[in-house]
Amino acid sequence: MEKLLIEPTRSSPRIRFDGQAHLLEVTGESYPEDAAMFYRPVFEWLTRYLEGLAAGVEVRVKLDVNYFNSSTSKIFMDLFELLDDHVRAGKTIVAEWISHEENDMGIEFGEEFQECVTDLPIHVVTRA
Amino acid sequence: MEREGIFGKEEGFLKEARAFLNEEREREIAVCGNTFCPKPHLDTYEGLLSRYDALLTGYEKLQRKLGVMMRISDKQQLKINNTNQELTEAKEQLERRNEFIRNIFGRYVSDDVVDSLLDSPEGLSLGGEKRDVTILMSDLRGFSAISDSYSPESVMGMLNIYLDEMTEVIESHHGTIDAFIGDGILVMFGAPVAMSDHPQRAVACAVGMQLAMERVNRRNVAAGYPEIAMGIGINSGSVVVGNIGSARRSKYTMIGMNVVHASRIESYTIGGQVLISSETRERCGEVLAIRRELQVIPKGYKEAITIHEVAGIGAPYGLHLPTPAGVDCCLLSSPVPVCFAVVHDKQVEHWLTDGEIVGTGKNLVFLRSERELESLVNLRLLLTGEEGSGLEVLAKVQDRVDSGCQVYRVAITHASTEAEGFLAQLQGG
Repeated sequence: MEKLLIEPTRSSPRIRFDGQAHLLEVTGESYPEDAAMFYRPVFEWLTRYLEGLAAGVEVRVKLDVNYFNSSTSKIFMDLFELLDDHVRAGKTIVAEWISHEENDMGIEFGEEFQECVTDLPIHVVTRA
Repeated sequence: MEREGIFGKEEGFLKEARAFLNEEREREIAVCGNTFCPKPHLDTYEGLLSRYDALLTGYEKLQRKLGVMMRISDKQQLKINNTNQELTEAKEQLERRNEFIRNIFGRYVSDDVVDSLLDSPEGLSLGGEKRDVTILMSDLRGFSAISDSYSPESVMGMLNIYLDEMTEVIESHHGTIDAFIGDGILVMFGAPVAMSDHPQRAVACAVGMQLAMERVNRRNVAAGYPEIAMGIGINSGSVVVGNIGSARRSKYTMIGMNVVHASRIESYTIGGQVLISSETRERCGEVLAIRRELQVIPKGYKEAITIHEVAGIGAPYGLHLPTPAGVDCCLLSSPVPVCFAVVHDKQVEHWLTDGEIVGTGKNLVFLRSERELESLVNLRLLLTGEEGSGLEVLAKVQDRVDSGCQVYRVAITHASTEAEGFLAQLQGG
């Protein structure tokens, strides 16, 4: 499956989804004017990828987004929900919510997202 | 999956549930007619429960997501508010610092320089650039001699009145005060803020400064100080400007031969005069009123230069110096013997030449001497007659009255109170 690469802008994050390495990364800031439109290709790619994902393969999803708007928070919850559904269906997916160690609020956001899922493990990881 | 907006998924659930409900209603009407039918078909009932469950689950998820969204949104809002508060405090602190810089720094440089530096802090870096400017140099005539005769407090009092009035005029014409050099003021026009009309502004400023001397002297007299007079020299041309000094202490200033030229021109002035270079006159154009032209050879110059005495400047400034009163000459029945020395760059020559005062006028004397004297040469006159013996007068040769009899019109630039009284007595007698 082809990689999904979206370069970052001032208001949108870098998207790097590598189906071969089974590594999905979202990095930067996210407050696009139309969050739904920006993330539409992301969900399309992810849905196709997860449907074709073989059992037993571990997928790592990393989100390192230090600023995001309310629309993006809804998108992220949808993303975690989609992943959560697939974990329940037997896929192996591990998510990481990455935040700077001094960004207490960023860490709290990761904990909030943990409450939205039942089966997907979301690890809150801090970086220096 | 079609996603219209961020709530596209939830809208999809609701749309599906609504369609199912409508379909069931139609089916109920078809089966039961208009009569009350308490139980739907069994298969439809199971389907209804399943749909209801999906709708309820979707609603629960939506409520959970909404709760998370609101908490995240509240926290983001809090973060933005805190950041705004920090920004406001930082802005206030910056404004206080700027005000402090303006209050302290502004005592030494003009508001234009402060504004320019605050707008572009990189301007604080040491360095320089060539700029086309007009340089104004003013100096009080005979003030060194005055300062020797008064207490330090009085000298400072006089200077502060003078500099206070002059600074106001200079700033109103957007001049940048480069330095107060004792009783002299060095001003630049055209830097740091560029202006195309800097020659006209400088001349207008000079005329304004001379006119303001009336206020200076009113305040001086009220404070018990003597009246003072100022001469101004102006030149236009290229100089190097910039912050010159060390990283610890630097100053926005100008350097170049054109600055020296302005200073040389100033040295030829008497009180109340504004002399300008040919360069400045040419650049000012027709707007200037020129009283006369003079040929002089300044120190270090090989050839004579022409300097121009300003009478005023026209629109939009409309400033004019008072026309000198006609020389009301009072010829003396008995000439007063004097000896005099020529002063070059404040150095008095070592030999004395004999002469005599043959007439007096307002702030001037008519000096007869066999020695050839050039216009604008400074003299130190020493009265040697029986009356007034030992009294000193500083003066500047204006011109020769009559080439046949070697009489020169000499403007008095400074006289002690006693000498002033003696000369007034001569004029009255």
